[in-house]
Amino acid sequence: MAESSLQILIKRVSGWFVPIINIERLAYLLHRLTGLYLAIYLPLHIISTHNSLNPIAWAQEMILYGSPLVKIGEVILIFAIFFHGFNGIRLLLVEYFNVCLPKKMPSSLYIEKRLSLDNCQKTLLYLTFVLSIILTILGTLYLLGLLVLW
Amino acid sequence: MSEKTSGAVSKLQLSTPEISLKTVSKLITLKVKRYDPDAGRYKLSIYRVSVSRFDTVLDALLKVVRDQDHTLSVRYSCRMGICGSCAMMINGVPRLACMTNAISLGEVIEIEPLKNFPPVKDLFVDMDQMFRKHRSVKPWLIRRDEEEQFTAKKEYLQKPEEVDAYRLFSTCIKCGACMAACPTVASNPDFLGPMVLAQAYRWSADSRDEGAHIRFDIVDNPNGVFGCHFAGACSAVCPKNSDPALAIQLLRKSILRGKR
Amino acid sequence: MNMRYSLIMKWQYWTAIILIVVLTIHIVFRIIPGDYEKSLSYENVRSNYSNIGYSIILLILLAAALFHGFNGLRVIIYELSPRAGKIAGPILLVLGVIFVVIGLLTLLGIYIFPFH
Repeated sequence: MAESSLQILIKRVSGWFVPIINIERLAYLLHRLTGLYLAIYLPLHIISTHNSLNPIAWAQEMILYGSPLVKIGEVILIFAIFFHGFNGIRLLLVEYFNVCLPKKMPSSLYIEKRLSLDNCQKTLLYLTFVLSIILTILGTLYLLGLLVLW
Repeated sequence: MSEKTSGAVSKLQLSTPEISLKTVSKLITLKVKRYDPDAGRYKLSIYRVSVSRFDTVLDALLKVVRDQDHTLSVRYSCRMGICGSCAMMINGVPRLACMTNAISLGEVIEIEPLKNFPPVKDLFVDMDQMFRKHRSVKPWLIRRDEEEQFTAKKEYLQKPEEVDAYRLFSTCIKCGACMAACPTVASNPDFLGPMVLAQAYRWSADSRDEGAHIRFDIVDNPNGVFGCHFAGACSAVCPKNSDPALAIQLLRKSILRGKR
Repeated sequence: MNMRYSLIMKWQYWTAIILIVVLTIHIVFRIIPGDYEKSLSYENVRSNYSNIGYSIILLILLAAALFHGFNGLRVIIYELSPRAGKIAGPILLVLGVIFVVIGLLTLLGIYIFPFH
């Protein structure tokens, strides 16, 4: 029975979300979602900053920025930037600079720890989540004016 | 007596309820999602079967076939985790049925055919495409002098360290569990998949092989190694701990650096 | 004929590295005023563009971010449908150039939107 294109698309996109078996897969999903969010935000930001050249348009922008929906969007933006950034650094380190990759494969046949998922790479993953959450909280506090720096 | 099972069992972390030494057998429910090729869709069959502490999910399914429903089709062979035939989705995770303890999964076990493969009947799936992709990366020794290779007078020698470089990835049994777990395989049917890419690395890293550049050309595209975004699910489910994600990372390293 | 795909991926990695640096600078400049609301004032935003060094940083940020982002979009679209991915490539390239131009005009102080 033939599936419609939309059904196929939904099935393929749902493959990103289930099953979440391990934390790396969660990081992959979040990296993808934050990337999409940022890629949509970027053109809007460019248009918005262009309006900074016209005081009237800018005042209208500021009114828009005040709305609660935009504020929530900004908080999500902060998380998106930090998570995508830190996870990106982790991926750069492993895939491009080859940190945590064995220079010599171990000689034992019975491998208890999977080198791609344990020890070194897991530490980087936990660091990513921890740093993202901490900096998101700090950023949100700054955004809400609750954190005055100096 | 320790309850720990021997080291060859999959390392997936599942909650294991306390299994008392007194539990001889238990009645569990199997919810089997079966594909009906005549109707062209899935249907659910629910069975109640009695399992002992030591029975695997495959044992439970074969009990169902023998005593309750002769029409249930299951692919299996060695029933000891080395042939790779019985991979299926057990409680949403791709696993080998013969290596999964049934009683530790709880009262109800949900069994489905392996994800990301076209179904044939009931619980078994069509593996042709996976093996076609496998062949496309030339998983054999490539030597510049082919004539010499087939009329060789002596063995190709290898030091132990040279074997270590690829030994882990040669333990792959081609069961397809990693392909079922991978999110990119789910969304892109042309993606080669973790098993294929790991095998491309296994043969390229073999010191006896002289065809690494050929394989690198084959996988250097968005359907090859660059389709992998490191979700790591393949290594998480591999029943032999063969770590395909590591092989892909090493393959990516070789390609980006331009050498083996 | 076809440039190797690993070259495009290397650009993706390098724009990522560049972005980490310039985005950090951009964020630091946004929190220097010390108060989020104050940093969004018209005067403050305009004064940013008169600083030539910062403007160059912003230009690098613009180009790198648009390449990195739109390439990522192209990868996702390609995975879902290779045919759509092949069409999306040139479209995203054109869109990318358009937005670089808009951003460049912002930095040069030339306003092009038909408002007021």
